[in-house]
Amino acid sequence: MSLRIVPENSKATSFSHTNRTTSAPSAPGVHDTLRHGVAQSPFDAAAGKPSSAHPLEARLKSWEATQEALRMETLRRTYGIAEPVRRGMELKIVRDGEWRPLALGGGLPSVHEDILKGRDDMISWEDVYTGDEMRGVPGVHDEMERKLKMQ
Amino acid sequence: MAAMFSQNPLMNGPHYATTDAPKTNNYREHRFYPYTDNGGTTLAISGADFTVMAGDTRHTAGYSINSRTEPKLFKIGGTTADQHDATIVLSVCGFAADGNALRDQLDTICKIYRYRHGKAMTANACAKRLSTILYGKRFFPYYVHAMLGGIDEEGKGVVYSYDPVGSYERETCRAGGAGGSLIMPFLDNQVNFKNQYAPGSGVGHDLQERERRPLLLNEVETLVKDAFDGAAERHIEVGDALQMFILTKDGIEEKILPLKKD
Amino acid sequence: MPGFDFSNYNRNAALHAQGMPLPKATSTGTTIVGCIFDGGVVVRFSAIPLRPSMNLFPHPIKPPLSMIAADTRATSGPIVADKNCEKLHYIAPQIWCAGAGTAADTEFTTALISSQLELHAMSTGRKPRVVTCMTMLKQHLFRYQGHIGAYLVVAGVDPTGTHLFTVHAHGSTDKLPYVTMGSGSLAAMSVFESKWKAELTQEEAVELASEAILAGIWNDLGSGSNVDVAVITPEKTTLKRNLIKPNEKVPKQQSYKFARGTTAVLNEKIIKKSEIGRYVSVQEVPLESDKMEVDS
Repeated sequence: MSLRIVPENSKATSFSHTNRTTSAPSAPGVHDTLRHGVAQSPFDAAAGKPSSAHPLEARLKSWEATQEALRMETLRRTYGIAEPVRRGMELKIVRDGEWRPLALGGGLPSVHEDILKGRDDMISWEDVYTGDEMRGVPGVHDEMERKLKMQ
Repeated sequence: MAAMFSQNPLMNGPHYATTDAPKTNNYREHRFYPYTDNGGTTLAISGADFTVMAGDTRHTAGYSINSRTEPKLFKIGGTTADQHDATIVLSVCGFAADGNALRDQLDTICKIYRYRHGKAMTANACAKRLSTILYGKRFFPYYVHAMLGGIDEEGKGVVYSYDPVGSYERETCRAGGAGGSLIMPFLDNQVNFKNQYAPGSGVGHDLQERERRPLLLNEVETLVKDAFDGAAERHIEVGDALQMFILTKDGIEEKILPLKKD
Repeated sequence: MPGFDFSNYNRNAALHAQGMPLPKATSTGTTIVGCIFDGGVVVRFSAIPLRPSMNLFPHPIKPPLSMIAADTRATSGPIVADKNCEKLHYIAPQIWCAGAGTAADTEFTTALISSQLELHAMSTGRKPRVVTCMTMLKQHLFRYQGHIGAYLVVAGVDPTGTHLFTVHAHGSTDKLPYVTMGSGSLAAMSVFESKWKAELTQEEAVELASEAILAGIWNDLGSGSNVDVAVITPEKTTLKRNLIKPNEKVPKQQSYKFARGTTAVLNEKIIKKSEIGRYVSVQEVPLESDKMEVDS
C-alpha cells in the first residue's frame, strides 16, 4: 500500500476503438447505439478505461481513486483497518440503497454519497459535464434491466 | 516562429497535447533555421502618372518590437548613396535582413548599369533584373515579398510585385506582408471597383458594373492611410508609422504619417 | 463519462500527424499586474516583510490594500480578436482575478472556482479567504498538468488581511507585494521594479499599475488597447473599466458609404404585412404591456 498523492503516469501507448463491451449480447463486438447511444455510458464495463491515448485522460480517470486510496491508507495507519472498512461499508450501503432512473441522472453520485466523500460543498467539471448530454433517452426496458441487474 | 523568441509559456500555444501527436519517426530534429519574420505590411498603387509606395515602419520579432522606425521602402539606382535622383522604389516585407541584402544587391546592379550605359535603368528593365536576382536564389530564397514601383517609358505609374523566388507581374495595386490579406480585399473594392455596380443601370444580372477610372493622387493617399489604419487596428505586427513614397515624373516625395503604437 | 470529453483526441492526433493544423484558441496574450500598497498610512510597514527590518510594526494600524490591472486586447495568432475584452474576473466580492493565457481557460477556471468558493463559504459560514481561492486554483490547475492554460493574478481582502498571488498553469504559485503575468509581464515588471514602494496612496498605486499596464500595451504586441483597474479595499471593490483609453480608433479620412443600388440584387420577393401570417404566427399585443419588467 503506497501513499501516492497523484496517479502514476500510466498513459496508454496504444489505443483501440473496438475493444469496448458496449455491444448487444446477441451481437458481440458491435457497438449497440440503440442501447448505449453515441457516447460511452458509465455502466459500460469499459467506462473506467480511458477513451483516448491523451496523457491527461488516464490521469483524471484515476485521480479520485488515487486520492481515496491515500485517504484510506492514512486512516488505516492511524486507526487500524476498521476505519477504512467502516467507511467503505457506509459508502456501499448508500450506493446500493440509492436508485434513480437514468433519465434523472441515475449514474451520478447521490447527495448521501457526496456527503460521505466530503464533496457536498464542492463543484467540479464532473458536476458540470455529467456526460449524459450525448446519451440517448433510456427506455423503460433499459431502466428495469438495470434496476434488476440484468444488464 | 514567435515561440522562438518568447520567454513566456503563453506563446507556446493553447496547450493542446500536440507533442503527443504520433510522429513519423521517433526522434526530434534540431537544426539552424536561418529565417525569421519581422512582420509589417507594404502597399503599392499605380496611377495614370504617379505611383504610391507605402509601408509601416514597425520591425518585430515574435511579440517584441525591435524598432518603430525601420523603413521597408528603399530608393534604388540613384547616382549617389543618398539616392537624391533615384526614380525607382523597392519595398520589401518579411525577413528584414534578406530585404536589406536584396536592396543592396539591386541597388549595386542599378548603379553598375548606370556606370556602364551612362543612363538610369528603366523601371521595366529593373523589374526584370529583380526577378532574375530572386530566381538566382531559388533553393535558398530571399524570404521577402518584394514590390517595385516606378514610372514607365510612357510616363504611367507602374507597380511590379514578386513572390520570394522571382515570379512577378505588373499590377495596379498590391498589398503584401502581415496585413496584406486584410488590405487586399479593400483595394479590390476601392481601387478596381470590384463588386460595385452602377445604381439603376439594370435589373438583376443586367446591372452594369461601376465604370473603372484611374484614381487621382489625393484619392490614393487617402486610401493608403485608411488601409493602414484599418490593418493597424486588427494586426498586432502593423503600426507605429506609415512611410509613403509618391513617385512622379518630377521625382520622389516622402511622407511620414502616424499609426497606432499599441 | 463525466468530466471532459476526450473522445475525439485520437482522431485529432491522427489528423494532426497528417498535417492538419490544430484549431487556434483565442488567447489573451496579455499584460496583467497586481500590487499591494498601504493606502497612505503614515507608519512605515510592509504587508510582506521583504527584509525583517522593514516590518517595524507587527500590528499595523490599518491593513494594506491591493489592486489588479489588465490590458484589454485578445488575440488569435497575429490578429486582434477583441479590442476591448475584460480580463478582470470576479471570484468573490472582495477577491478578484486577472487572467492571461487561453481566454476560455481563464474564463471557465475563474467561474468554477468562484462557484466553489461560494459553496465553501456557505458551508463554513465564513467569508472566503484569498489563500483558499489560491489553493483551489493551484490544485485544480495542477490536476490538469498545464493543459488548462490559465495564468492568473489573484488579489483580495479577507478577515486575515490583504493578499496577492500569482498562479501558473502548471499549478505553481507566488506571493509577492507586486506581480505581473502574461506576454507583457517583462515590460510591466520593469515599471514595478523601478517605482514600486509600500508607501503609496490609492491614487499613486492606480497610477503605478496603469503605467505598468501601459508599458505592456506599448512594448508587447500581445497586449494593447485600454487599461482596466480594480481596487480592492476591506470596504468595497472598485472596478475601473477602461480607466485609460490611449488607443482610440482614428477616424477614416473619407466616407465609404455606397450609393443605394451598388450591390446587385438578383432576386426580390416582397411579403406584405397583411400576408405575413402565412409565414409566422402573429399575436396582437396590447400597447401598455410593452414596457419591460425590470427590477427597480
